Amino acid sequence: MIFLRTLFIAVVLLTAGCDREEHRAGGATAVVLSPENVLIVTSNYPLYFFASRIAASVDDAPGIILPDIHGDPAFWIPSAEQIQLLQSADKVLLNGAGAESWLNLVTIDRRLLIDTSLNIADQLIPLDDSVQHQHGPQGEHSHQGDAFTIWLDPRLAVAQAHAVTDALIEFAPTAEYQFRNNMAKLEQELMALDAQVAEVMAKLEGRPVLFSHPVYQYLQRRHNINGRSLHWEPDQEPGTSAWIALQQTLATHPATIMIWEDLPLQTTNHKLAEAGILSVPFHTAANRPQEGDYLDVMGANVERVAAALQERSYSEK
Amino acid sequence: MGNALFLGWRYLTHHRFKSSILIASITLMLFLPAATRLLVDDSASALTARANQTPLVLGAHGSELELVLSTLYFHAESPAPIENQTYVEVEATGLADFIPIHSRFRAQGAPIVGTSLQYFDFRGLNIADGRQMGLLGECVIGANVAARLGLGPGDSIISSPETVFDIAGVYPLKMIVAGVLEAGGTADDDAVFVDVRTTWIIQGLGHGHTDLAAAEAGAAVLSRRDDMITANASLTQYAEITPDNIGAFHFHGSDNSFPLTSVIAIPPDQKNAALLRGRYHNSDLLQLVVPGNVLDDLLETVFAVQNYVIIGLAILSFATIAVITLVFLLSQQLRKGEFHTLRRIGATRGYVLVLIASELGFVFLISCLSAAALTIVTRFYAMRILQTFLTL
Repeated sequence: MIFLRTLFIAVVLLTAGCDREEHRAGGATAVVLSPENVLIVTSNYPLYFFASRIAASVDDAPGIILPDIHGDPAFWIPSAEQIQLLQSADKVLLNGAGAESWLNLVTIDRRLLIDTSLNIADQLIPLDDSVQHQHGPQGEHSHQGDAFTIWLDPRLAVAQAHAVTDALIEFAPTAEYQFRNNMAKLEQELMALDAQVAEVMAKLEGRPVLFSHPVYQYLQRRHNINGRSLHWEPDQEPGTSAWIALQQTLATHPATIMIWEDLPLQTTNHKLAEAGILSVPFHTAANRPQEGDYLDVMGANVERVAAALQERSYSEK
Repeated sequence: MGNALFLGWRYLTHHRFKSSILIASITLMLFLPAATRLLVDDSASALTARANQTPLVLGAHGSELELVLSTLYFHAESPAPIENQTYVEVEATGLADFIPIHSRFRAQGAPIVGTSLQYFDFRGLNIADGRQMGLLGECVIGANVAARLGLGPGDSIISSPETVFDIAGVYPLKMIVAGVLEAGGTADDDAVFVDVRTTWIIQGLGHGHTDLAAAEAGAAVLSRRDDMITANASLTQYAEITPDNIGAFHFHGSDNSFPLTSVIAIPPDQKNAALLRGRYHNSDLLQLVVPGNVLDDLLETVFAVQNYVIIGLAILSFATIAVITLVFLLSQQLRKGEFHTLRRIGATRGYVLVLIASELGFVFLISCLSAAALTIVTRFYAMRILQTFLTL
């Protein structure tokens, strides 16, 4: 039976396109399969990164898997094979805050689910930009929830990582010391990142900033950024109405920096530059980065923002 | 001796009508009490086995029997629904494992059972062909449903509208068969299993439609304000959940208010079971029942009725024997000439007695064999007959 399960997991990993190399995070090799054959699936990359770091070099650690998700994990709809992987997992680590919209679409044993943001539910930011709609006699309704890019506030990310640590200890109690030791190191790195971001964002000094999409709520709250969110996609050309709306926004919110999830189209970038707005990609790292790990991505984000601020001559105090 | 048996057999075959009536009477006389007892005993064993396998059932206050039959056999007459909130709350107690059941709807004659994956582990149900249901709108079907409708993985089955004349009612949902369960000889063989949220979509509590904020929805939009879009009647809801449109499916309101038929509770020990029972002891809205006890009460009544039936059948049998004896004696009177002729042509008195006895023997032998055959057939179909009655 154990052999069959191992075989099944191996097949799923192969079909999901995950090789052993991809299970490396931040130079530390994540354990793919433990001797106990326990399997933990994560629903986004930050959780995978935290779990991999905490489990790094721990012999009895469970296997940790991030399914091969194309695009934003918030819009992930698992394939039949991935559903089988989720159903066969021993635990599924969730970001929570409504990030896993697929939970409403997939049949899974609820006992497997661990919501890593459950203990910080009171610190979640409710979304307030949903559009209500009505059809039939059922009345008005909207599809709203909380902002879910929690990990953009490293202090909240630490809380999530603690939930991940508890889950790992549950499966390998004998390795608790190692897990907690790794967690302490991770916490130091995350808090260092927090300090680094804070130092750069402080240079904004309350000057207005635009966000291309409402996904930076936690970053904004953490560093008191005077920001407003648009609904622009980096890979789509904004329509005329979007440019008009931007002009209206700029009238009351004269931003000169716009933070994007990814590099925008050249034409968009050029038009924005003509309007005096500098585009700065700040990747959320929700999905597995092509290069480096979570900390590398965040570090690069900070460097880009710092460079943009320097270009805009926001002097250091 | 051999000649006497031959003559006896020939007599019976010559008087086919009379012989058939005699055989039929004796067959029924033997079959009815035996079948009644066997049917009741087998049904009782099957009922108590499934009931005893189900420790506790939580449902709305009302008929305990209806609640148990609906949960165990997906009886068509559903008890009053309970809110999903009840399931969420009781699950939060951690006193047991809990399995939601929502079995209000049917698909092509089979009950649709909305539940969780735990149900399959709990009942020991394995997939014989295909895979476990994974996405909303997928189902796994019992072995009998697959055989009856000729369905397999990849095929689809459509939910039945609750009423034919309910034009504004719930649209039928086309469900994809993900897998077929191994036959287990239980009510699960005749059911269609879906995720409980799929039953909520069948009920109209969730649905999928074009994004009203998108340009393609233009014709279906009645009015559009800053934060409010109202659709007109032309907005089409998807009747099938596919990988392409599944992202558009959503539920209205909180799922805490959505309905369930019942919740199966599986406490780890007697203490937790007692704590759970105490929790709902004085509830006016909910009841927590032990299916074994409820069915024991039912079976007590059934056994009492069975005893009356058997006494009635015994009296009837006595009357039948009396009538047969009378017919036989009268027949002997009528055949006096025949016996006299036999004696005149050299048959001994013993030969005539053997001839008469052989006729009787053949009648009883054929009757016994027929009754045994009927009993075996009845026993073979007993569970199917029982399940048909229970799911009606």
